[in-house]
Amino acid sequence: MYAIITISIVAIIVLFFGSIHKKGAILPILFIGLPLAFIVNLMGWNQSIHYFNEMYIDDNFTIAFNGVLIFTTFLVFIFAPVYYKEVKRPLEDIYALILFSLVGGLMMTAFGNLVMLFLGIETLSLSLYLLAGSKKADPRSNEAAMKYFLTGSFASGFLLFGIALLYGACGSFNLAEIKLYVVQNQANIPVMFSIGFLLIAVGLAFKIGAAPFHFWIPDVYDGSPTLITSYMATVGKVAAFAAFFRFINSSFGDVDFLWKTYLSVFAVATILIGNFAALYQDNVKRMIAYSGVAHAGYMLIAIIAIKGDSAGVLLLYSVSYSIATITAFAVLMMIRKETGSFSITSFNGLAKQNPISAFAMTIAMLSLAGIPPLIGFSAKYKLFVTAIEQGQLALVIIAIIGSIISVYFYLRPVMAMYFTSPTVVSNPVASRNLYKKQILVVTVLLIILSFIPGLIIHLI
Amino acid sequence: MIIALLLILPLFASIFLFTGKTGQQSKNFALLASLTVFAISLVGGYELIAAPEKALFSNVDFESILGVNLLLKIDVISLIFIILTTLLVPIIIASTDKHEYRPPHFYALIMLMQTALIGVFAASDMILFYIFWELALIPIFFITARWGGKNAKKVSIKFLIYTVVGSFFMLVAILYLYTLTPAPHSFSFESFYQLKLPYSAQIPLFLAFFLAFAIKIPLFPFHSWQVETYNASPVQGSMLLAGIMLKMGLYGIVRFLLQLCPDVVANGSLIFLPLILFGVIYGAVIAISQPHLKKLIAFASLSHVGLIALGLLSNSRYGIEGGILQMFSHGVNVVGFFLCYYMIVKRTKTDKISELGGIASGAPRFAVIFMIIVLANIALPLTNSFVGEFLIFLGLFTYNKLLAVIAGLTIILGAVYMLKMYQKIMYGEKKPSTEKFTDLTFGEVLLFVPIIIAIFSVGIYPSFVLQLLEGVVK
Repeated sequence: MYAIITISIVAIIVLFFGSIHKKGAILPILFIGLPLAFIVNLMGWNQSIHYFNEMYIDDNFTIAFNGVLIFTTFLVFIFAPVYYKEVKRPLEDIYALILFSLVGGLMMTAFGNLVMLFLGIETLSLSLYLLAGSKKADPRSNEAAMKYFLTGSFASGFLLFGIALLYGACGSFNLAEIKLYVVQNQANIPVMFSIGFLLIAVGLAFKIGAAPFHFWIPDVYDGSPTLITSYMATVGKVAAFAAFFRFINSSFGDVDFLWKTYLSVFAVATILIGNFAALYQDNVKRMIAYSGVAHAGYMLIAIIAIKGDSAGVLLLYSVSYSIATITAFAVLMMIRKETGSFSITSFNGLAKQNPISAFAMTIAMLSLAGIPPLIGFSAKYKLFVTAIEQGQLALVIIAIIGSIISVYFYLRPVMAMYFTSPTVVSNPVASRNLYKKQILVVTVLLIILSFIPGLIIHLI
Repeated sequence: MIIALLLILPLFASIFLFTGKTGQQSKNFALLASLTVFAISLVGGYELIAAPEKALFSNVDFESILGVNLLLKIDVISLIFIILTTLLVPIIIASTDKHEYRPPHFYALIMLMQTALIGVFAASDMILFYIFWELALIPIFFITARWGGKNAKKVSIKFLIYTVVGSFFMLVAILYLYTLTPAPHSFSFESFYQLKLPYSAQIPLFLAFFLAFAIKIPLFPFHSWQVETYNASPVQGSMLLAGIMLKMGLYGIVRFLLQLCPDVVANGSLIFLPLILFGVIYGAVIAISQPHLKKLIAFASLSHVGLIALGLLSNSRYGIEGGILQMFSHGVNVVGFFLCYYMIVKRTKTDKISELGGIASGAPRFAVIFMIIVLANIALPLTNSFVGEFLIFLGLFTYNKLLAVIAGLTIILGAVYMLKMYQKIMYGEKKPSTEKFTDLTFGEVLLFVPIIIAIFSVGIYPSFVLQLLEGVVK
C-alpha cells in the first residue's frame, strides 16, 4: 500500500520538476524514489494487512510480486538516460506515465475485490496506451498506440461485463465471498456465473497476451519505442499474471471444473502459436514478442497447476522471464541505435565488434530457451515438476514440445552474432559502447539469479 | 572434497580463461589446469580403489538456494569415465598446433566442457545430471560452429537441435519418475532405483530414455548428425565428441536403462538389438569405401559404439562388463586415431586417402604409433579393445547366438577397412602431398605416450578393472 503512495508521490514530483524544466533533477529522483518504494514495499512482509474492506490485500504474495514489478521498472529506467540521450526536453511525461502504470500494476497484484482489479488494469493500460504512442513522429508508434487502445479497451469491456455478470450471480465483488458462493453452490452453478467467468478470463487472457487473444502483441510490441516495449513485456505481463493467479486461486479454491478446461485450452494454444509464429520472424523484436506469447502459455500452466498458496513457481518464472527479456531488449536497443534496424541480419558479426553485448544476448536467449544452468531452466523445470505433480502430464509434454521448437529461433540471433560476418556497416564506436554498462548490469544480474532460484521459489 | 575440486577447478580455469587475461599463455594455462585435474582424479581413484565399497560422496543440500540438490557420488563406473575425461582433456588441449593460433576462449570452452562432463559422470541427482548433460552441449556447439570447417554453422545447429530434442524426452521421463517416488519426492538416483516399476510403466520410460541416449551415442537410425558434425568440427572438437561426449549416452544406458527398466531390457531386446546391430554392420560397410580419413573414423566409431550398446543391452554380466571396459578403450583409441589424422592433415593439408601414400618410409616413428592405434581399433589381442570386444561377444553369445554371429562380422569388416586404409596411406608410392612428410617431433610423440600406455596396460592386465567392475555389475 505504502509503495503505491510512494510511487505516486515520486511521479508527481517528477511531473513538477518537468514543468519547471529541471531536467537534471528528474533521473536522480527516480533512482532514489524507486528503491525507496522497494524498501517501503518490503516493510509489510509477513504482516498481511487488508485495506479498505478487503479491497487491497497486502500479503506476502503481493509484496513479492510488487517487489519484482518495482525492481523490473528500475531496470527499465537504467536504460532511459541512454535511450533518450538525443531528446532535449525533460520527458517528465513519459517517466511519470511509467510510474503511474506501475501503480496500476501494483494494484493488480493486490486486489481482493474485482472492482480493484478493474481499477488496476485500467490504470496500467491507460498509461501504456499513451506510452506506446510516445514516439509521436513515428507512424508505427502511432499505429501501435491506436491498435493497443482499440483492442485493449475492447478487452476491458469484456472484463467489466464479466465482472457484472459475476456480481449478478454471487451478489458480491469480493473474492472471499465469491469463493464462499462457489463452494456452497458447486452443484448448481448458474449459467450467468460461467459466462461471467469466461468473459473475465477472456479479458485477462487479452492482457497477458494468451492465444487466441494475442494478435495485438506483435504489432504493439514492434511499433512501440523499445524502452516502452521492454516495460510492457515485463511489468505489464507479470502484473496481469499475478492478477490472474490471484483471481483463480482465491475465488475458486478447490472447485476447478469451472475454469480448468478453458485455461488448458488457452495454454496449449498459446504455447503452440507463440512458438510456431516466432519461428518465422526475421525481425528480432517481433520474435521476442512472440516468445513473450509462448512464455505466457507456460505461465498459464503455472496458474493451472498451482494449488494453494505456493505461488513461488509463478514468481520464479516471472523473474526469469523478466530479466532475460529486459536483457534481450537492451541489446536490441543498442543494435537499433547502431544499425537502425531490428532485423536478424543486423546482428551479424556482433560478437567481434561487441563481445559483451553478444554474450548478454546469448545468455538471455539460452535462458529463455530453458537451457541449463541458467535461470530459465530452473523456472521451467520447477514449473513442469509442479504441473506433473498435479497430474498435468499432457500439458507438460506440449510445453516441452514448445521448448524444443523454441531452441531453434532463440539460437538464430546467436548464430548470426557469432558465426556470420557483419553485413551492415555500423556507426562509429561511440554508439557501440553506449549501453555497455547497463547491459553488463543486467547480464550479471541474470547470472547471479541463475544461482539462487531456490531462494526465489521459497520466498512465498 | 575431491569431487568438489574436480568440478570447481576446471570451472574456475574456464572462467579465468574467458576473461582473456592469459593471452598467449592460454594453452599452457589450460594444459596445467587439466593436468592438475587429472592428478586429482587419480588421487580420488586411489581413495576409491582402496575402499571400493565406499563411494566418494558429497551431498550438500543447496535446494533452498540453488533449487537443485548437489548430490554427487563417484563409484567405480563413474570413476572410469572421470579418469577417461581427465586423461583425454589434457591430450586434446596439448594437441592444438602452435602454428594454428587459438584464442583463450577456445581453451575456456574446452575446460567448461570438462566441468560438464565430470558433472555428468559424478552426479547422483537426476536434475543435476540433466543440467550437466545439457551444459555439455553449449561449449561443443560453439567449438564446432566457430572453429569448424565449411558448413560448420548448419551442421552444428542440426546437431544441437537433434540432441536437445532427445534430452527433452529424457526430461519428461525424469519428471514422470519423480512423481512416482514416494513423498517427499526426490530426484536422487537412489530413490529412483528403489522404484520397482511394473512392466507396462517401464516401456514408455525405456523409449524416452533410449531416444535421448540413442541420439547422443548415436545409434542407428539417429546417427545422421554424427558424421557431419565430426567432419565439420575442428579436430579437438571431434576428439571431445567421439572420445568423451558419446560416452555420456552409453553411461546413461548403464545408469538408467539397465537399472530402471530391467524387464524391458530382458524381454524386449530382440526388437531393438537387431536395429542397433544393423547400424554396427552399416557403419563398418560404409567405412570400407570412405574416401576421406575423417569420415572413415566417424563411421568406424559409429560401428564401434553400436557394438558397445549391444553389449550393454545384452542383459548378461559379461556384456555389461565388456561394454563398460570398451567404452574406456574406445575413448582412448578414437582420440588416438583422431590425433593420427591430425598429424597427417597438419603436414599434407588433405585427408583424402587417395592423395596419401608412402608415408611410412619417411616417418618410421609415426608408422609405428599409427600401427599400434590401428591394431587397437581392430581389437588385436594384447590391446585394450580385445578384452572389451571379447566380453561383449561373449555376452551377446549367451544372449542370442545368431546376433553374436552376425555381430562377429564387424571384426572382419573392421580389419578390412582399417588395414586397407593403413596400407593406402602408409605404404605404396609417395604422392605429391606426402613428398615432404616429416616424422613426428618429440612433443608430438609425447602426446601419444599416454594413449599407448592406456592401450597396452588395459590390454595386458584388464583384470584390474574387471575385478573392480565385478563388484558393481550384478
